[in-house]
Amino acid sequence: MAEMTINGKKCHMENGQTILQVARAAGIEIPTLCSDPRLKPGGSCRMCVVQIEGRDNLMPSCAFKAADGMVVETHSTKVLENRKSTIEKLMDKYNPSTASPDSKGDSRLLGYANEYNVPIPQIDLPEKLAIDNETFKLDLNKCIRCGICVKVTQDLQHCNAITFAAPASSPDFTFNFDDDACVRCGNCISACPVDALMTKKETPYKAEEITKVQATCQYCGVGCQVNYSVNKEGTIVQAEPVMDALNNGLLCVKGRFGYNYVQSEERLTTPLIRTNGKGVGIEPEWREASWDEALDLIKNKMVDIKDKYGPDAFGFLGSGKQTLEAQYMHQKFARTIIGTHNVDVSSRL
Amino acid sequence: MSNSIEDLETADVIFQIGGNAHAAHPIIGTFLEGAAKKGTKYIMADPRKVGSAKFADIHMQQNLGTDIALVNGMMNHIITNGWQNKEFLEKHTKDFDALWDVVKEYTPERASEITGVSAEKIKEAAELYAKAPAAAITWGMGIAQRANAVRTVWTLANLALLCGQIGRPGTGLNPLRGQNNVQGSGDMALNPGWLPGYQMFNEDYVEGLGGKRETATANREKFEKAWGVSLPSARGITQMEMSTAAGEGKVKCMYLSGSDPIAMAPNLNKSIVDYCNLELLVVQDLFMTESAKLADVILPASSNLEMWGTVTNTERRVQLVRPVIDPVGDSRPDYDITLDLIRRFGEEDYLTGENNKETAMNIMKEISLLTPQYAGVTYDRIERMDTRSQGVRWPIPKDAPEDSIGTRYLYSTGFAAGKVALKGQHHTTAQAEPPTEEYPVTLVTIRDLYHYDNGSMTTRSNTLMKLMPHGIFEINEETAKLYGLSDGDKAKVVSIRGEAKAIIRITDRIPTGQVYSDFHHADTLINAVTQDALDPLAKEPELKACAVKIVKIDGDSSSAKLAKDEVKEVELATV
Ligand code: SF4
Ligand code: SF4
Ligand code: SF4
Ligand code: FES
Repeated sequence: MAEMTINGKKCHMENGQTILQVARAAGIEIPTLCSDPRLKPGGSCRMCVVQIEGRDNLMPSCAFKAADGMVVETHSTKVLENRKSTIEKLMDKYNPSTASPDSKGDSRLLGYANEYNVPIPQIDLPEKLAIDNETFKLDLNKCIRCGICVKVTQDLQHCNAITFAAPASSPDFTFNFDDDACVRCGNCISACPVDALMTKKETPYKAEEITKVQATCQYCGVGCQVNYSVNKEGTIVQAEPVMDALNNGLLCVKGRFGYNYVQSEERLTTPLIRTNGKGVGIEPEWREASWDEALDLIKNKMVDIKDKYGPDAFGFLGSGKQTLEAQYMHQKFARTIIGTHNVDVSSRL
Repeated sequence: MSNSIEDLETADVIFQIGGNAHAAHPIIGTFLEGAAKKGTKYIMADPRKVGSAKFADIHMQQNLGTDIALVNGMMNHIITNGWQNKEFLEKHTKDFDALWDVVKEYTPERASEITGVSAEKIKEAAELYAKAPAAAITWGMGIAQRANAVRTVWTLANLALLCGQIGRPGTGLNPLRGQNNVQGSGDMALNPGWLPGYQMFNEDYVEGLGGKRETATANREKFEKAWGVSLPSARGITQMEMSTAAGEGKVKCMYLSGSDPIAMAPNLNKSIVDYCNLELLVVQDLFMTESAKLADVILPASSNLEMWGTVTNTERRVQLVRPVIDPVGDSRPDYDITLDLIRRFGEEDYLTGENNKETAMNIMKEISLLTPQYAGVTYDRIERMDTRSQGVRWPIPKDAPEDSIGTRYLYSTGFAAGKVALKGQHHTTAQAEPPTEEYPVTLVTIRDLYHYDNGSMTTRSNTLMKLMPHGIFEINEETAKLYGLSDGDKAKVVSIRGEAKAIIRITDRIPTGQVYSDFHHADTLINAVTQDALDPLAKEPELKACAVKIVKIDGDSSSAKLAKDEVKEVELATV
């Protein structure tokens, strides 16, 4: 079994793994900006550098392959100093302000600056937008040119909608954006490490003020895992993909932007009892009722109908959008309380 | 799915027929595209140049309703060349000769005549599929919503069995489910013909399928004992039959839980008349849906983001929903409402717990006791969070360790029934309602990427409404010319049953003489137009195709992007 030593700890490794992968598997955190576990290693930002015994130069752990017997330090003085200067250089060109209502304020670069005691200047550059549509935007004054968004569009979403329009080092650097190719899934956005790609927020929020709850997407049968962000007022303000789940950190446009219905003004909030007759073209009229009144009315009418016409005068239709528990109880009610197998699901259609 | 999502990524050949994963199952769509880039051969059979078509190695644009002929053509070529998996056929199947009797008529040339796909392409696809070390078949609603759905699925099963492409990684028969818990609705027996876990209870029916009468009796008795009631042995009726029976006054009370048959079922104008005839219509939903408008009592249900519960995805993976927020208004979880009603009927309620989570867990306990597929499925198991293995895929093998994540693919050791019969299917008239002189165009209903079902959820997202604000009729340039239409025109499609309005979009993705409409927008309500011919076996309506004419609505030819409000003005089709 191949093994290497990281910070004095023996770590199991597989051939082909990078140092970063071995460290993460062993629970050792190394800061990164330009690498994403789902993509080819970045190797450009140098946040992840480590010291390897027997080598003079620090090496980027996201790109450097682990080897049997290798001895690595991830937080030696030399490493820490190097990282600090990396952060300083990046901060030079970075707009640290989180004043924009679309900014979540969870840039990893700002987090590392705090961690490594790099002062964050109190400036607020105007936005310089390379992408700006009804759903999201890209601020060049926050972009560290890590290239992750470009790789997401090429290797995960396959939309190829975002490309570098000039080399990352060029002073007039910008992106090309192919609007027709973009389906607004937002997968590039959730991969951006520094809040340069932002969704346009209907309800602005900052990352530190929200709680996240994981649940399954309400839409198709893929069953993507979603983290829903809820603010202090109890409003869902964002849906983001769970990275370690079957959806591999991806969502489609419905899963990402389709949650508003839950707290729509148009939700039914109380039982309603009809007050007028039914017929083609007749507008329904309602009055509000308590649960007790509504359920007793249903029960009494059901008993009458069952007495008069028997159990097969009933029909039950559940749905493919309900939980297993709801579906199970619906058919159990039909079969045990009413005594009919007239049960079906509308998603047959 | 017999296999899992990762099997679609690891297959050597993917055969996707009648389903646009790119729009209907977008994340699987991206996985398929990624696999194709890495070298998986991607065979697509779809009349439209749909989303992922540019990643396909072979794209067969078959005529509508000719799937069976297409696949029979592939099987003919495979058998003629002796590429079938003889060992697998011997061990796991019977009636090969009967299959050949049917399939021998469908030479690639004959299949080509019927389908409009070149014989060369059919042969190429057949060879790729048959010779692949591992090939997976996947399909979507394009198959499930046809009048011959069940026969088409049998035909696909024949192909998989013929080549032994099942029971191994990267193979299998993999339907993609439209809603997040359609899989569960079958598992939980929202079905007139079986009890939870597909346990059939009618002796004659089971015998007709080649099973034993005692099995049906035993299944029924098992549930009678568990539930403390006696259960009828006659099978119930399906949704479309219920609707008709309501119209005839035979069904008097319907209870719709989360379902909107008025908007979702074909021939809406007939459904409205039928449902108005009920003495009691209870609708339990989140919104004032088209069906709710006909209700006597409406019960506000909580959404899946307001409670504990589980849903089963298309690869049989049981996952959790959690209370992200408190129930909105006085709404309550569906299962709580049902339990409350049960108490009002004077029956004992032994499932309601101290809190919402406990109630949900109690119900799951009962499910896992009575449903073999869910044996061993517990919230504890599902809640363990491992990389890419959240949730568990049923079935969990007996004596599996506590950290088992269930079963990646089914049939690894063969089939429960022993040898499976190969049931050859003939191609029949392509379309239950062929075009006529008066109704010369074929309407096909589709899903679009931005919306979902009756739209009651997605049309309340500002972002999604900006992206797709109204219903769309897609036609190609030539159809547009024929009927004097241009991009952005307001138009209506009319069938003998009714009409619906939307905005014309011109595309090169579809053949001449066809119009595609989504069914998500309440302002279009395309099901006023669609027909209700049933698949004789699955009793599914022929949603996918009917004969219509397209008529331009004058004075409204301006912008393609009408504001939402403007579109909302469009009235419901009248009866
Ligand atoms: S939002 Fe999605 S489709 Fe658009 S560029 Fe980003 S990854 Fe591509
Ligand atoms: S926008 Fe974000 S992900 Fe894209 S290059 Fe800039 S920093 Fe990286
Ligand atoms: S995010 Fe999209 S692909 Fe994933 S489950 Fe939801 S609707 Fe399906
Ligand atoms: S994360 Fe390794 S170089 Fe950027």
